[in-house]
Amino acid sequence: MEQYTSQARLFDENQQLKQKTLKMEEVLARLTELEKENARLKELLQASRENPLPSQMARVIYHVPGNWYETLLVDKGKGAGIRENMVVVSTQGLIGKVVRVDQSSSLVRLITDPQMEISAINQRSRDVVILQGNFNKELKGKLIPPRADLQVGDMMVTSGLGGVYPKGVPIGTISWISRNDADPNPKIKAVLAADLNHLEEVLILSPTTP
Amino acid sequence: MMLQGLFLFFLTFFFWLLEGSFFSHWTVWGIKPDLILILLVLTLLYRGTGYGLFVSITGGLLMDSYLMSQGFSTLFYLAVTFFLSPFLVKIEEDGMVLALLVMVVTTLQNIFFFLWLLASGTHPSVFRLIQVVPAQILFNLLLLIICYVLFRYFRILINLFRKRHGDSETTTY
Repeated sequence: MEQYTSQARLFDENQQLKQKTLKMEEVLARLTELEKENARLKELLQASRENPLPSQMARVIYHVPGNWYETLLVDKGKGAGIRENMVVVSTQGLIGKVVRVDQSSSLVRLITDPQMEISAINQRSRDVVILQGNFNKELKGKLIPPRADLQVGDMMVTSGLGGVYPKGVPIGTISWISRNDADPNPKIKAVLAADLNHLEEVLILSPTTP
Repeated sequence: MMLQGLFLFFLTFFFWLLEGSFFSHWTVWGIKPDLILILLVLTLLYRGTGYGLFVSITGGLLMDSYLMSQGFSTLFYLAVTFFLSPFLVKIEEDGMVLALLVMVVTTLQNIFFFLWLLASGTHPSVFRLIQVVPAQILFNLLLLIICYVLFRYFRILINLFRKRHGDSETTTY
């Protein structure tokens, strides 16, 4: 009888311990998630401090579906002072710009959208080119001067021309160049500095011109 | 009828959410599927044109609300409804014809989007079109098969439930 009671007690204890382990695992997962979020937010805060323009943090809440548009939705809208054409960046570089604002959310067009054209400057040679979205985390060159000094691996940053994008925000690095005699203008492709597939929080910058 | 409409509304909303969350990361060669199109085809197959119109308008408006495509998606899904309805009534559950229709519709959808972007002044490359069409056809067909099987099981379950509760009607979801 005593042995039976002892076994039953052991069984109960075992069940309780199993439940406790499950709870601990859940807490641990939540803590890991918080730790990662904390690290990301710290980086973002640092980036916002380094940026001369006033900015605010927004969370990515929806990746708009479709294969012919590259847009996403963030959780800040008119209520937070967001306006159209505000520039969106991450800790790594340029993300896009706000194209539509609702009361509590905004639609951001990513720089990989073909409707986006950005004036960029080569950080090494200071040559200015126009980069256009080309889907798949890639940009292609447009309106490149024939004698432009461009090399694979060159970092392209925003030129500040046009008044929408502030000067010096990293866009990406040149990954491919093609020159031929028939066409005086070289063709280039650039890979993005920012990882658009793993965006969770972004910074929305206030406009450079009021 | 009201309950079925409500069910379809939530299903459309769920598919739309799934497309913008899970399937924006889970892609085939970087190409996303069109879940609303899959839902529309299955609704037309099982529920007819009336409910198909409901899904095409609801799904289309949801897509247009964030795509900035000025009603293009809604118009496209409505066109699909009118194009597919006569075929789907005749074929009933012929998998091959269904797959062929989805292939045609997916191709047309991407060609229209491509032309629409060209007309709006953007110049997407033809390479993109060549890349998107086969990948999306493959993805749509794969998901169509999965959803088709799930819908069939769901229909069987509902019919069993109805039989157990003495309802003689057995031809709904």
